[in-house]
Amino acid sequence: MIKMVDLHKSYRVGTEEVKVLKGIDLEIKQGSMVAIMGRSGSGKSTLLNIISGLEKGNGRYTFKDQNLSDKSLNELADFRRKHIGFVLQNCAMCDSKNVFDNVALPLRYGKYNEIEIQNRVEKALEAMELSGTLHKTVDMLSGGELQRVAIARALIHNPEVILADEPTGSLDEQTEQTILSIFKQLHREGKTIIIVTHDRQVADACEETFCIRDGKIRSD
Amino acid sequence: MNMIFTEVSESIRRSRTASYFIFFQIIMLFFLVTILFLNYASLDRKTDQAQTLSSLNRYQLSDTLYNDGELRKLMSQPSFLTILKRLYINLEENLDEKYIYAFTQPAKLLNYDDANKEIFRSYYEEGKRIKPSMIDNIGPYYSIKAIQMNKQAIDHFQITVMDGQPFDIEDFKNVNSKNIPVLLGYEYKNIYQVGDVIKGKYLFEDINFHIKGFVKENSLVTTARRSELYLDRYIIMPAQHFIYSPVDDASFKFQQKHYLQLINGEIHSSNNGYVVRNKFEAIKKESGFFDTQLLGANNPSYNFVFASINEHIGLLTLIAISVFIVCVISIFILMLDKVDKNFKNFSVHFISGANLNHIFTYFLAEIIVMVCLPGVVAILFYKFLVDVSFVWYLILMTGCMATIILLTIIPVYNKIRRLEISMFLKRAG
Repeated sequence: MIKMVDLHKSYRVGTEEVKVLKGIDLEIKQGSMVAIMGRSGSGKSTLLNIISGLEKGNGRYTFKDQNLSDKSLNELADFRRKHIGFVLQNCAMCDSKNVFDNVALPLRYGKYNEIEIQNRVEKALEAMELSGTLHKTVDMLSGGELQRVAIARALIHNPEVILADEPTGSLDEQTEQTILSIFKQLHREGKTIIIVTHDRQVADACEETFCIRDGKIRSD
Repeated sequence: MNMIFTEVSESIRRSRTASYFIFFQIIMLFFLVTILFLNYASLDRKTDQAQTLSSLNRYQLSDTLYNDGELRKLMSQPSFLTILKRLYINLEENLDEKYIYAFTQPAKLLNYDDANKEIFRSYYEEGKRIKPSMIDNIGPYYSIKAIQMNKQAIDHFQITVMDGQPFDIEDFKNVNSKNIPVLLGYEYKNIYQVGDVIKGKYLFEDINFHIKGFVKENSLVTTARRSELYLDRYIIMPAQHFIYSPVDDASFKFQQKHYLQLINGEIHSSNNGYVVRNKFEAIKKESGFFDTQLLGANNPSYNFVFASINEHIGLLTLIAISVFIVCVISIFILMLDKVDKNFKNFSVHFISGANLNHIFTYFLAEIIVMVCLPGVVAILFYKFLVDVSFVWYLILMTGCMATIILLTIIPVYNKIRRLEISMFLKRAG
């Protein structure tokens, strides 16, 4: 489903150019659940950003045989809206929006009508056992609840691929297990799950783990 | 559109204090711009004639002979007429300022009962009907609109004759004649011709008004009592200086009454009141006539506020420019700060399907709301309350708003364009 060949990515820091990815070769099958591990600064998040179309790298990137390498960032935004659900680090939310509006955000960019948005958001929150939080502000929720809201937002537009960047990073063990079981359930439903993690326990729950070392990927 | 509206209102609410401060600045700026515009735009749009004097201060002369007994006593003295004449000549020739005499003095004319002549009667426009009168068993005499003007008034109001001849210097002198040359207003054209003579009375003296010409349509003058006086229905008489001495008591009294009017004109000057007052006092002393005073500098066409504004126009312009610069700087500092402080929010938008164009659009929309909301309110207020040269005002305000928006959005655009989305995501974590 996702194939990357010889992917490079570098950033300019001041006057210097820092190479983060130095030739990534990666293939992720449809419906698989994989972990990406590596030290801090190894380029895990950068790889995730490229997979989601938030950034562009140099090299070949195909998604379901469609070449995304030559797409513009605006075209990649369209691709992201249709195919990708993203769970950010630390359950990032829009502070000025309530739970409903946070979850509805991908649908508003997808130009769904208000009735459909209402129905989908209610269903997504029900699936995460968060029906009573619809009009609450995000500061009223616990860490676990916030993460489930983030997952609801990532699923709201029914994407095929879920990307999660350290989804259990700031959670206690029990909540971590709850979140992990949600991902496993999604995997059973046929979603492709890609998780960036430091946590060996999370990686063990996945079918395959890729390690990034020296800008390249090693299958673990 | 809903998204833009939602994001803009959320953004303004998040930085309420700064947003309100900027709204206040923008309102101040548009207020100053409006004041400056009103000052530069002409408020009297009718004709250039009135505007020739609009930039000068006007000082009304007024004799202080209120007491009838005192006046009768003076008028009984033979030297009084000489003094009055001397004062008038000095005002006309030696004052070193403009002395403008334009006084509406009805003429009494015979045979004005035709329907087509009704519009020329005094107070016709006010809806009053003045009954004609018999004078020395002759009549009926009708009170007809007439104005007396000295040469300086004729010149400065640029009274133009379209048919016939204008007054020349000799028309302002009377060498013992009952014939007075007059100009007629435009609406008299279908009734008289150049060369016709109208018999009538002026200050109860029999006068033959010789028609010398017709003035241009919509000729406009300003007087102490009327800020706009159209001459179309008026007889225009030259303010004559009677060179000869009166031969009898009736003639003596006539000339006295005539000069008592002529000395109550206006001085128009660009000098301040102190300078004009000094010159006037010198004229009084030289003429030997002290029963007259100079009244305040009220321009009937402009109120005191605008006179003050005109006085400090340079300072106001400087303040307006400063406020403009402060507005621009405040807005783009606020926006750049919002770019820095909302990385987390933007990261959520990006993962939800937004791109940099969306983010830029939200900033642009917010700037437009902050600038154009007060701008539209200012334009509406101006339209309903002032409505002077509205199209030019609209162009000015639109240009002003567009300039502020452009100057403030460019730094924001440059900053957003240079950012990588990964920076948003890194700083959101």
